[in-house]
Amino acid sequence: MNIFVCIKQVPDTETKIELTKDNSNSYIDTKEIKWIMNPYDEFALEQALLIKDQFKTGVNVIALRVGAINPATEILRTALAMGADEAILVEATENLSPYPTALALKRAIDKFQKPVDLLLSGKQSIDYDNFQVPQILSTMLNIASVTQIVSFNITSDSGSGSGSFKVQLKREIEGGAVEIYNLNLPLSCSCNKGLNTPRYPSLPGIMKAKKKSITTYTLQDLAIADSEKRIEYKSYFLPKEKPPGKKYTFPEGDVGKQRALIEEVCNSLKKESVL
Amino acid sequence: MSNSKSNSILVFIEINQNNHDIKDVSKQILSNVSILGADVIIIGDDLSDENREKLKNLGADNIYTVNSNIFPGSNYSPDGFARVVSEIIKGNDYKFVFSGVTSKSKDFFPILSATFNSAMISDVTKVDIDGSSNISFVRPLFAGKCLANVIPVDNGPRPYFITVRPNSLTINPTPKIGRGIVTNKSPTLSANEIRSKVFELVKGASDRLDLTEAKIIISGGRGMKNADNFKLLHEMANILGASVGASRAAVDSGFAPHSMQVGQTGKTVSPELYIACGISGAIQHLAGMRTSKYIVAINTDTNAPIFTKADYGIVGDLFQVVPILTEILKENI
Repeated sequence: MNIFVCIKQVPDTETKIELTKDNSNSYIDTKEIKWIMNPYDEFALEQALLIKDQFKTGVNVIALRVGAINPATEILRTALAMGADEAILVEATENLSPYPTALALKRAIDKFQKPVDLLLSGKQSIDYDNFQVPQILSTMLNIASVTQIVSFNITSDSGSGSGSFKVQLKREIEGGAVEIYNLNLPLSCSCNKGLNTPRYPSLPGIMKAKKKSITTYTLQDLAIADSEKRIEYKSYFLPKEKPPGKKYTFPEGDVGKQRALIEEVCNSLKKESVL
Repeated sequence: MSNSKSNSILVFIEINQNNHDIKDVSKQILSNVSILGADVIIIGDDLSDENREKLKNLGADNIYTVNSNIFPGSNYSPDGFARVVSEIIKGNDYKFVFSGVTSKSKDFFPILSATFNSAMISDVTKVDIDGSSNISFVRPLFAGKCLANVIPVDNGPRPYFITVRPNSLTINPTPKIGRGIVTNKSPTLSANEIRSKVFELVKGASDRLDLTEAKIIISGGRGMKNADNFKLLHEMANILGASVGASRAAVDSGFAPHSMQVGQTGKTVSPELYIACGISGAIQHLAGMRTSKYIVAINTDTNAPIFTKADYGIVGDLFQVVPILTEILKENI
């Protein structure tokens, strides 16, 4: 069984986003950013590794990403250290929108010449928050798709990683309701928080990862033309800061004063018609 | 219908399961874009006369309905919904297909866009229509830490698929009145066209609106100390008809499930009122709730970053403040 795991390199959640000053606020300044593996992709990779642990033999995990080569923070190396067997990098110097990203992934998978049994991805990347690539890619690969799964259960008729598989998935929707899906492979799942707890790379894992190879394609290799963009990010701007609000100190002990303060806040909210 | 007469916009409409009214976000979109000529599609929800009239008055010309029995044994299928909507699109000449950001549209709109080889712009918070009927969009990035102006490229494959975040557009009070012509469609779907469908639906414990749609949210952070104390917030929420959220710290400490998490790795919300209890305001949390119209923060630490975003900040112990607040609300609402 080949499990492909899509991974994106994104700025850490504590990153404060700044715009480049030189170029009329046109782009995001990435100089000071700490790069991490997209947190939702970590759940996808962990799920692939859990399947590998479950079946012991016959499972091949391939991590793939589209993005710039950045040796200092190459998260594909982290994925290999966590336990992925192979990795594919599609080199792209800029952040591609979802359609060309999915097309690049599709063509990289075709070129790699291993059939997809299971495609795992994070439900969205925490930078551009599109929530699109797994579904577009699954449509291009002509396989079933389920998004934002919180539970993944797989059984094999042979007990190993080769044979016939049955999968039960749970997907969380509005108000905490859960949809249950029973499916066969091939299949694409996008993963949500709550699915599992990602492992850390082990020291032997890190040593082994150094010997594993990363197959690299360029966008030219995959014939991804500029015309595949379809949408244009014209300009970027930061949200307007609110004027500072009112700050009260809750008086200790005096219940009358305490009530008076809270009543004042409630009355202000009523005046604004929010209560 | 001939293509030359086709409207330029299709809106995917959803109905609230608890009160059978049209979802606010569906109304927000339709009333703002129907000026350009809009049709609507509703799948699996039997259309009441009342809702038909509402859609007409929000500007819907053609109202396409698809019976709920097309997916036997379930009410949803991502590829099934994509297939049904694509049938309607193929008979027309739409430039844009809209939906609110909901768990269904997030799931199947990208599939739909891929079947037309066209692009989708997710989670927009602003739709601008200029004098020549050109449309441009604003969408947040990094959970709202930054925003971008996004446009479709000239001559790109049509239609473009657009999802709009709930509560980001206001309902246009004077929309164009549409023709309101109902057409029932019964697409034929073979079994191999529906690969994934819901086998079983397990209802959530709460019948409250989802955080992304809620008008009022009361959130708890690490300061709640344990899961049991969240009942204080639920009690206040019951009075206000609010939904209850949590910070990442509270979720990671096991006080609340991830479905309640607000922030960059949870839900991004825009309620009219957000009450943060015992939340310090990490940058990833602020990103997820900063577009709330009014923010009330209760925290013992006067230096907590949440106070920089709060319209009303109360420096105090939530275990003292929340019960008094609940009591006052109970007397007044």
